[in-house]
Amino acid sequence: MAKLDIERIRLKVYRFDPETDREARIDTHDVPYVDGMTVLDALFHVLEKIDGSLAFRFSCREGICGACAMFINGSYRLACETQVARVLREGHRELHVMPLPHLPVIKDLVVDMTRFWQNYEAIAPWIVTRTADPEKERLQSPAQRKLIDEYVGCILCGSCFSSCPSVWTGREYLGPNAMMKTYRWVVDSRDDAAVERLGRAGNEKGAWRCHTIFNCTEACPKKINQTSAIQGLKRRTVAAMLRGAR
Amino acid sequence: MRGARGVWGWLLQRVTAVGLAVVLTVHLYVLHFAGEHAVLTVADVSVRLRTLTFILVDFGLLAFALYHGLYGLRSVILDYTTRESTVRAVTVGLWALGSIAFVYGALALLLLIKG
Ligand code: SF4
Ligand code: FES
Repeated sequence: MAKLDIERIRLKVYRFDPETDREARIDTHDVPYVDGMTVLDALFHVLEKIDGSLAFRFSCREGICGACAMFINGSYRLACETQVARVLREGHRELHVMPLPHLPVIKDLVVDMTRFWQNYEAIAPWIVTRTADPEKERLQSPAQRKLIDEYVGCILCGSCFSSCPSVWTGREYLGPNAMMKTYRWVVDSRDDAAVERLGRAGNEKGAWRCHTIFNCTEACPKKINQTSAIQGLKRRTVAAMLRGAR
Repeated sequence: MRGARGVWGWLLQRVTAVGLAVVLTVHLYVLHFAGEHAVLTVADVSVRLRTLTFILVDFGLLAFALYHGLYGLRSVILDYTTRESTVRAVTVGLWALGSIAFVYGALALLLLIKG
């Protein structure tokens, strides 16, 4: 990415501590700009040099752990992968960093992901087999593996969950991530629990609540199409019912 | 398939969507593009409605639109609660509403058919 001829970047960051604050505020900082700087770097500058009380999540710093998902200049992005230069090239003059919307704020940019994790756990996101364990490993052909390629790229950042209107209104809705992951196991040639999985997701708290709004697909930093996976779940649930699956 | 619910309801919504696409196309074509664009009288409509095709198209339009629309309304309501008892009450209520509306619409069509 070509160099930017600037010395500082203005960073506006959301601050809220439910234990002490009555309402949220936006803090403004002018942060020294260096080439290749990411939004996470800018947040670290604030944390280390200006205000050590700023709270945010991160871990891998390379787009793998999903911890740093935030709402940056109006889009769901990973702070560690988002270069400041890219945001400015989109036409923005300053950085606006907010927590993932529609989730309870624990502090500043850290949101409560409990519901997201509970839903994920509820779909049993592990392999279920009914055959004897092979000596070495359960093999998959390249074609079989292709069916799940897109979905194993999910880093569980929660952006899709935060962006989904059906999640905002439906407290019991599984959400796009848990359903995409359900589909991922349903189409996995090594898994033997497709019918149970379809039963878990093919109901009013699952697949039928998806109104194909595509917010999740747009929000995903890994470009995963959860909506299409959910449509796949719907089709497979109907097909299983027509086959008389129990 | 333990846990699966509402599968047929959703499938019917998809089927009625296809049905609507077909009958609406016929309906709009006949109304706006086919034949001479003379002003239609009730008698004209009545004559047209006496053919089997139009009986099927108009009754189909009535049934498909009602099911599809009310299923959509049910979906909106269920976005706010999925409590079993509420889902049941909403479903029964909307079936009742849909049935009454269908009978009402069917009577109107029959009146037209009789002329
Ligand atoms: S599907 Fe995409 S947006 Fe959703 S949790 Fe996974 S990586 Fe994040
Ligand atoms: S810190 Fe791990 S994805 Fe950003």
